[in-house]
This record gives sequence, structure tokens and C-alpha cells, in this order.
Amino acid sequence: MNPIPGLMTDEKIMTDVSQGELDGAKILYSRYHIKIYNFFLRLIFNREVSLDLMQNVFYRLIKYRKSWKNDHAFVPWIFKICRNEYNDYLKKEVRYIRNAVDIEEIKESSAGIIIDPIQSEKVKNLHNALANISPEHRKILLLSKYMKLKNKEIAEILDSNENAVKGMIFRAMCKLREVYFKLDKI
Amino acid sequence: MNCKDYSELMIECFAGDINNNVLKKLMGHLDVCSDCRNEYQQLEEINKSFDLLPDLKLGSISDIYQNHDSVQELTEKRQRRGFKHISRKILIPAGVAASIILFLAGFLAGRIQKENNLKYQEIAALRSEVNETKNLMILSLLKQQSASKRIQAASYAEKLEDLQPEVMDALLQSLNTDQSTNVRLASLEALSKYTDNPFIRTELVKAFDQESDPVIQVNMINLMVLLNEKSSAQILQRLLDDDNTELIVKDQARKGLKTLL
Repeated sequence: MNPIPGLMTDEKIMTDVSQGELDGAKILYSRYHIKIYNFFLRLIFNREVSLDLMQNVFYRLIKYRKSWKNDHAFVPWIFKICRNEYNDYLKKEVRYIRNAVDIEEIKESSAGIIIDPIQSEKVKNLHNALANISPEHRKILLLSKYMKLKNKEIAEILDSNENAVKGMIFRAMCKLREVYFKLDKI
Repeated sequence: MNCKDYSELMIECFAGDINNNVLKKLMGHLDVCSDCRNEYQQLEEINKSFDLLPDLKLGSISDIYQNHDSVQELTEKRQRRGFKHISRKILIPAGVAASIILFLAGFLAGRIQKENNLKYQEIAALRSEVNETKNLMILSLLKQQSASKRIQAASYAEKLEDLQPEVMDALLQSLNTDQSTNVRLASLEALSKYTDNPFIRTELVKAFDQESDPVIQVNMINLMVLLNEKSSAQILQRLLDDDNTELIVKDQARKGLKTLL
């Protein structure tokens, strides 16, 4: 173990983890669990499910640590795990939730997220807008705007190419803008 | 370039993937096109909102995890939590049920054993009582005037499992001193059953030594041979040597000596 873990790059730590230094996962967890939790939270609007999925992501990180390759960037790699986790969740969700989730319900659930009192109106609007666009759009926007990942990295996560990602972001952004300002007017 | 192209450019602009030349072009367009200016402002607002999007803490449910960041611990915790979950839903009622069953089982077992013990104690008490009565009966019968009653007492004593010392003494006394030879014979037979008792054995040898009745003598010789009592050999020899001894007794004594030695 490096005596100053704060100075180690994610990739170096992950390489150690893949070689059996499981303690390194602690550092990765402390660096990313909030971001990943929030990513799921904004995607699904359910605290418990998000927490579960976030924990599963780190469980998978340990389980599939051998699949880590040194030349990769860590963030796209772990978000690929997030994406798989989310896809698995959707499959289960389809099985368990019989009736389709309507917009009103999503609004309700988005309101379920406890927002700090200092949080501005804008964030509320964004939450509501995000709740009212498709999960696919939501996912790509969260990766791009919330996680601030580059198109290239998103392409890697989604097994796609940069141009396709660019187009997806554009369409998602148009949709979000439409919903955001429609809700704003109401 | 039309407005749609510019809106694509705008999004790229906010993503930061844009060079200065293209940016200038976009700004130029925004100056003249109010629709696109409006769109730009909206996109700007959304992008700012994204920047404001807070990193929510894991919340109340997850407080327990915040001090322990290790993923290993986390998975362990989850397993433990799973176990707790089971324990609340199943283990406690199961435990209560098991304890009730155990308690009832213990209670019943205790009762049954108590009953068994009681029965056993009762039977033992009854048995000893019967024994005592029989012993008493033998004692009283032995004191009867009628010889047949005394013989009866001796035959009772033969059937008895446990002989009381008083009865033993009484039997020995009747063997040694009873007027009727038949009673004495019956007493001898009764006592011959208890030759496992060393006291009776020695008393029998003593009685044999002092015996003068030929019928009893013959029976005693047989008994001594049967018991393989070596100490009686001297007495047998004396009987053989004594001229007053009956011929039948001498004969029996000779045979006995042969087998004993």
C-alpha cells in the first residue's frame, strides 16, 4: 500500500485491487460512492434502490476486479458497471412493476428526494424536468452534465461511438429544455 | 448554417468541445437571431442547474455506512443485516416456539419421570411390606404348637426372596432344637437355599457337628457334599469313626467323603 493514498490515481489503485490489494477499494469507495449514488438517484428517484445499486456497483468492482485493464480510465470503467447494474435493475423492475410508471408518479417520487432548503428553484425545476424525460435521455445527460464525462468516455460506457453520443446528447438536451421550460411556465 | 446547426453548436459549446472560430461564428448568429439567443439562455440555465445539482448524502438509512467506507465491510454488513432481517422475522418466533416446546417437553418428562418414580417407589414399598409380612408370618408360624404349621413356616421361608435375620435365627433354632424331626428337616431344606450367606453356612456346619438324628445327618451329609464344604470332612470322618453312628449314615458319610476329597 502506498503510504499517501490520496496521491494515488484511481487507475493505480484499481490495478492494485485487481492484484488482490482489496483495501484499495476503500479509497475508491470513498471517492466515488456519493457520485454514483446520486447518479442512480437522479435516474431512478428512489433512495433505497439507489443505495442498493450503488453498493452492488462496488460489489461488482470487487467481483470483476480481474477484468480491469491497466490502460483503461477508471471512471468510464466503473460507470460501465453502473450501466450494467442499471440495466439489470430495469429487467427486474419490469418483472416486478406491472403497471407502467406515469409522469405524475415520477413527479411524486422526484419530490421524495429531500432537497436542502438552500437549494434553488432551478435545481427543483431540473429535477422535475429530468423526471419527465425518458430514462435513456436522463442517463446520457447525467453522464455528460452531472458526471461531466467526455463524449469519448460516454461512448466507451455505452459501447457506442463519439458521434452517436453527440447526437444522443443533442436530442436529450432538446427534450430536457422543452420539458424544463414547459414546467417552468406552469 | 441554419438555426438547427447552431443549436447543435450551442450544446457542444456548453460541453466545452468548441474552438474559438466556431464560437465567434455562434456568437455572431446569436446577436442577430432572437430565437437562438433565447435557446442559448435556456441552455445556459439548464447547464447552471446541472452544476448546482447537489451531491446528496446517502441519507438516514445509510448513516451506518458513512463511518465505514470499506466495500468488504459493506458487503459483510449487508450480509449481517440480512441475517438480522431473518432473525426478526423468523428466528424470534421460532425461538419462542422452540422454548415453549422445550418447556412443555421438560414439564411432561418431569411429570412422567415423577410418576414412574412414584410407581417404582410404591411397588418397592409394597414389596418390602409383603416381605415383612411374610417374615412375620414365618416367625409366628414357627412358634405354633402344631408341627405341621411349623413345617409350613419352613416351606414358606424356602420360597422367600429376602430372609430377615430374625427369621434366619428362628429357622436355625428350629433346626437345632425343634422336637419334630420333620420340622427340623423342613428348616434344613429352607436354610439350604440361603447357603450363599457365609453366616448360615458356618451355622449349618456347626449344627451338623452337633447333630445326632440319623435322618438329619444323612440330609446334612448330602447338603455338605452338594455345597462342596471341605470343612465338613472332619465331621464326616468323626461320624465314620464313631461306633454309635447309624450304618446308613456311615455309608452316606463314606460316599460323601469320597466325593469331597
